[in-house]
Amino acid sequence: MDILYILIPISICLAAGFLIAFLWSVRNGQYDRIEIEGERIFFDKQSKKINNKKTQI
Amino acid sequence: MAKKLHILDYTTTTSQCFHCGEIENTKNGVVSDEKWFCCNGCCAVYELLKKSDTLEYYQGVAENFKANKPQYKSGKFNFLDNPELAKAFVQFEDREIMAVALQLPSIHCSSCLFLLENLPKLNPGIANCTVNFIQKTASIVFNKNTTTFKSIAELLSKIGYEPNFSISNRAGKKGNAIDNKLILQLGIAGFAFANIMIFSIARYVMGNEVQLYPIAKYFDLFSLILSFPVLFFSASGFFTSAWNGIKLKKINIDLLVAIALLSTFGRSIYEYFSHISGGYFDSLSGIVFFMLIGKWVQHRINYKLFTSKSLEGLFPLSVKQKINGIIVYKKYEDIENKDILVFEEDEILVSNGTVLEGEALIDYSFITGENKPQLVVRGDKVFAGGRIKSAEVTVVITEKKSQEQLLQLLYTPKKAEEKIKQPFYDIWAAWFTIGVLALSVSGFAYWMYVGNSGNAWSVLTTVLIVACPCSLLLAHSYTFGTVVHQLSKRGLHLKSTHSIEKIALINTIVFDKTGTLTELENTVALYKGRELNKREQQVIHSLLQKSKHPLAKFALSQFNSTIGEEVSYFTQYQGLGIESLGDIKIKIGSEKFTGCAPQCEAKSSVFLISINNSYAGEIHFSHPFRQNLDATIQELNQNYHLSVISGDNANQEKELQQLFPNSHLHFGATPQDKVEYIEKLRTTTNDQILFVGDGINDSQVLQKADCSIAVQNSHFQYIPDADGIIQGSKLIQLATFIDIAKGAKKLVLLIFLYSFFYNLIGLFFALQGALTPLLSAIIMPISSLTVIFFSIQGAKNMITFNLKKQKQH
Repeated sequence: MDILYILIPISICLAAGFLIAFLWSVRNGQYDRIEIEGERIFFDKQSKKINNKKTQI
Repeated sequence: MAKKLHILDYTTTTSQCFHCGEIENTKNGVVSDEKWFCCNGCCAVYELLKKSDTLEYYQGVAENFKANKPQYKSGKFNFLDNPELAKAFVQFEDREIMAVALQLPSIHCSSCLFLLENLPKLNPGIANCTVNFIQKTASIVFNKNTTTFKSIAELLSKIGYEPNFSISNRAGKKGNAIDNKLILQLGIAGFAFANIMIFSIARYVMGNEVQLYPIAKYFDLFSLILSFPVLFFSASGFFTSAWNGIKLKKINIDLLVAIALLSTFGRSIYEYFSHISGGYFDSLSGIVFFMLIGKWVQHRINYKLFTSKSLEGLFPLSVKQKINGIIVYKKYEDIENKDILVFEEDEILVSNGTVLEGEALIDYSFITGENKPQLVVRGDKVFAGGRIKSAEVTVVITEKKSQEQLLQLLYTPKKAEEKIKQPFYDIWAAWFTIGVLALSVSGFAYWMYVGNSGNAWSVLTTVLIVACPCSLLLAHSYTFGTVVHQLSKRGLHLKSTHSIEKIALINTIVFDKTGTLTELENTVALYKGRELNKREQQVIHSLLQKSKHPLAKFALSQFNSTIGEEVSYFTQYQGLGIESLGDIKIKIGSEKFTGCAPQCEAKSSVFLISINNSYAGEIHFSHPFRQNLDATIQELNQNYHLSVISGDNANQEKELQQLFPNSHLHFGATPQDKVEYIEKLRTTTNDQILFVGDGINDSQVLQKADCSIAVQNSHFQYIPDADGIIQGSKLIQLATFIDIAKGAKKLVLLIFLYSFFYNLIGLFFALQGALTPLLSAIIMPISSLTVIFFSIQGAKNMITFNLKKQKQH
């Protein structure tokens, strides 16, 4: 079971990584309006840009 | 802890405040009861405590002086002295009074409500303070000469309710600033909880044998480290709230939670360092995590439930804009700053602005709660929400408010009687909390006495966690909130949750006739009389256009007019008629008003027209009663006293008598007659009266009745001051709506009983030591979440049940 001495710190680092990602996303404002995430697929400004790029190629 | 002797000493130049410990110049302070206070606020709190006989607050107060010191940096609110910056929060301002709307994110329980609504006691310059519990906002009206916006902000900060002034909140994102902190707390608690449980798996599986393995030490150490952010960051809300409660001698539920957390933490630390066991950090973080989930769910439900978009749909407000001297009707949304709008008598100002033309009296009771109207002249500033009481006014818009803001402004109850019955919840919560504390301590004592110390500590914590006194306020808020929301979707818009309670109590209903019992949309008008020349038709057309009578505009098609030649000199007599002043004297109105008798037989409403004091003609209206009205009236007749009072003539009396077999019918009543009728009813029978009428003509009556509902027939240009607004087509469902209101009250009682027994059973097991802290941590939020769930779902089911019952009739 000595492997645990390595595994535990790794798991803590991994968990800490997730925690940092979570903190960053909250600060970034991703939790401000949760309802709008579902409606994001209806915004088509970006897809128009992609279409233009494709036709240019 | 020796009690510090307080000596009043005028020889020194500074003294220490008896209440907050500030040291100030003696002559700047206030003396009361032989004690010196640094300001009126501290003195007022002292007198409050003395009156309620809770002066023990001051024992050990010297130690508290440091903690009581205001936590803000003085100068934080200096920006409020600048009118430009403070403008965003000001609802109304004149020479004496200022009304502001503030966001107070720290509001969370009934004690907060009680404390804040008693704010005038802490600062006599404040006239009143109204709190919207669900949205965590407060409207404060104060006297500018006695106190300032800045000192109020400082006072609020001092008692623990620091206002949130960030502008992004004003733009309509409701309460997101709090959401973020709560989400962070939740995220960290969840992170810690999950990891601690991973580390505790070995212990769960092996029991205390795990101590034999050296790695167990590290598991326990990491658990200990992880619980620090949980206790000091995630749980901080509970501690500050409990501490605020103690400071002001108000026991609240967070105190129980705080004690439970501290005792669990203390016991865990002790057992860790004395190698008895690994501690109970999993329970600690679990308790915090689940409680924060409960808080967050409540928050999301509030946000969804109480952001009601439907009221906006009811009011596609149209306003009159003056372009190049011509009046054009435009939708409120299309108006911008610097546009010129015209408002007539009884209309409501929709935005802040400056008066261009006209002299009028404006009634700001919607905002300040006071009925004294203000005179404004050219150049004066006017504010949204004011009701014009006399002549017409032309205003240039300076600050347009969004429709949502305007409706919010108008639909927050300001009058004292309408505030939620606070003291009841407060007393109930306080007693419950004390009872639970006592139970927990005696349980602890018992098990210690019996010799089972493990159980003793367990009992202390679990009893505190399992009990939840918040059920009454939760059930009330969510049941009534859901009912208001659902009724709004179905055509009845209620002013507040308090309106439901008012409706549930009624036993008498008084109806207006025109526009209420009769349908207006299909009104047909016919002019019968002598031929009219162009000028006469023009004048009549203008008068009809200006008239406030709901039938007037249906007659417009009968008369020709030319644009730009409107009549501006006229006088309107509510309930009687309208007359033009000028070269031709034309009167349109009732028989009494015009002095002429009708010459043709009419089936219903008639406008008589007299020109230069002689009969010229009459306008016949035919407007049918609403479809299926008889079924509704029959149903209402079974449970309530009904009567009809109308300003119209008695032409439809026979039909009405068929509809209302054993009720009083009155005709030809002026608004004043209607008010007197309601007063007479009230004094003679002690009934709770509901008045159903249309908005503008019956505005006085709507206010006089115990409860009032305004009927909306078409798009409004004004906003009636009634407890509820019902769409004309939905009036036939009135009986069902009243049943729903009554059902809501019964539901609240049921849920309260459920919660009471739930608590009883929980406490039963907790006292026996049968619950682990972790288990109780799961049970407690389940209690509040099920109360919320039953309130919302129960209300919805009750509503569908009532609607189905109605369909069967």
